[in-house]
Amino acid sequence: MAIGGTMQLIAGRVFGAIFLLISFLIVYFFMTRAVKGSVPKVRKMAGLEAIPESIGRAAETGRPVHYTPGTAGFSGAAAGFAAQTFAGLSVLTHVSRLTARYKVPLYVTLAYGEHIPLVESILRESYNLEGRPEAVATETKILYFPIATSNAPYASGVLGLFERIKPASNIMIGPFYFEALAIAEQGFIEGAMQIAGTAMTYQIPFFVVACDYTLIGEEIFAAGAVVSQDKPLLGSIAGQDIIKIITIALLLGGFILQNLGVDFLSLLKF
Amino acid sequence: MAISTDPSVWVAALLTIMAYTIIYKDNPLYKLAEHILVGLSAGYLFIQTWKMIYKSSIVPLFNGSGILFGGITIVLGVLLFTKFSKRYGWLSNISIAVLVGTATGLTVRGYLFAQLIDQVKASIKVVGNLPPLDMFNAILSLIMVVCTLSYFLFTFEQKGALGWLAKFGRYTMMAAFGAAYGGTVMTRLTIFIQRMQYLLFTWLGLA
Repeated sequence: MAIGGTMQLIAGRVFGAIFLLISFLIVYFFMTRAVKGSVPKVRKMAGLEAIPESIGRAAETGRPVHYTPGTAGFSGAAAGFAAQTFAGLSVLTHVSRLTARYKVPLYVTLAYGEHIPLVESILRESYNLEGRPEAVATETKILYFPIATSNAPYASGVLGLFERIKPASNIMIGPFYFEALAIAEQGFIEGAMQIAGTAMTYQIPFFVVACDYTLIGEEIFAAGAVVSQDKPLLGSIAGQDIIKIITIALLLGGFILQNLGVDFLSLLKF
Repeated sequence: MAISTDPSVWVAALLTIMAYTIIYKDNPLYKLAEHILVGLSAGYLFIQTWKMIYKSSIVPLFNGSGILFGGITIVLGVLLFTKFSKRYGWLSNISIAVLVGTATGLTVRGYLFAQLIDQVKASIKVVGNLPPLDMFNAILSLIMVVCTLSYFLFTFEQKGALGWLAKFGRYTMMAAFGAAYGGTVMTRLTIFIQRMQYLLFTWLGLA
C-alpha cells in the first residue's frame, strides 16, 4: 500500500500498527492517570510476597541468595524475550535492596554480557539507597557464564556454584530454556527456598514442580511494577488489562461474526 | 567389541562421564568439565563477537560503505567501558539506554504479532462445516484462551464471574503445563539415552 509514492505500509501489518498505536494510547492514558494520583490496585501474587521471607531465611541461616534474570540476550532471535529480562531486572532491584538491608550475600549469575552493566548499576543503586554503597564490592558477586551455541555452559556453571555456595534462596525471574529444570532441581537438592517466574511456556511446568513459588507468564511483568510501587508502571498494568479486555472482545466478537458469515479475519490480516 | 581410537570420541566420552559425576557430589572432575565448557564457550563467543563487530562495524567504517553506522556502533561499544572511570562513568548510560531501547522496540513488534494478533487469528475458526469433535475442540480452545486471558487481569478483583473464568483459566494452564512437562521429560530422556548410546556404542563399541 503506497502513501504519497514514498512510504509503504506492508500488507498484513496495518491492523497490527493500528492496534499498537491504540495500545500505546491506552497505556499512556493509564500511566498519566496513575501519576496524577489514581493508582490502580494490583492483585496479590504469592510468589512476590514470599521474596522477603526467602531473603530473611537466608539472613537467619547465614547462607547466600542466588538471583538470575534469565538466559536471553537483547539481540538475535532472543531479542523478543527482552521484556522478560527487564521484568527480571525490575525484581532484582527489589531483591538487592532486601539483601542490602539484611546484609545477605547476593550472587547474580548471567548468561549474556550485555546484562552485566545493567545488573551492576541496579546493585550499585540498591546498595546506595540502603545506605551501604561500600557493601556492593563485598556482599555481591556477578558471575558471567557465557552462552555461545548452547545454554549448557551457563547451566553447568550455576550447578557447580550451587554445590559450592549452598544458597538459602534461589530466585529466578526472566526467560529460561532447558536449564530451568536443571537449576531448579539443583536448588531443591541444596534445600534453597525457590521462587521462579517465566513467560516461556515450556519451562513454567518445571518451575511449578521444582520451586516453592512460581510466577506464571504475565505475572512476571506485573511483578516489576508491584515490587517497585512505581506509579507509572502500576498505571501501565491497568492499561494492559484494558488491552486484554479488548483482545477478549476481538476473540469473542470475531468468532461470532466469522461464523455469521462476516469476514472478520480479513480485518486482522489487513 | 572395539573401543574407539578416535581421540575426539574419547574427549567427548570422558567429559560426559565427568559431567555426570555431579550426581554424586561436587568434585574436581565435575569442576574440570564445567570450567572447560564455560571456558570454551567464552572463547568461542569472543571470536564470534569479534567477527561480527569486524564485519558489521569495522569493515564498513574503513571501506566507506557504512561510516555512520560503523562509527556510531563502535563509539557506543567503547562508551560501555567508561563505567570503569568514576569521572566519565555516566557516559556508559548512553550505550545502556540504546541497548535497552533497541531491545524494547524489537520486543514490542515480536510480541504484538506472535503473541497477540496471530493468537487471535488462530482462535477464530468457522465451526459450521467442521466434524463434531473438531467443532468441540475449536470452541473449547476459544473458551480456554478467553479464560486464561481473564486470569491475567491484574487490576480487577477476581470475584464472581471473573473469578470463575480465572479459575477455569488456571486449570487450563495447569493442563497445558502437564502436557508440556510430559513432552519435555520424554525429550530429556531421549537426550540421556543418546548420551548412553554414545558411551556404550560409539566409545566402547559394545554394539
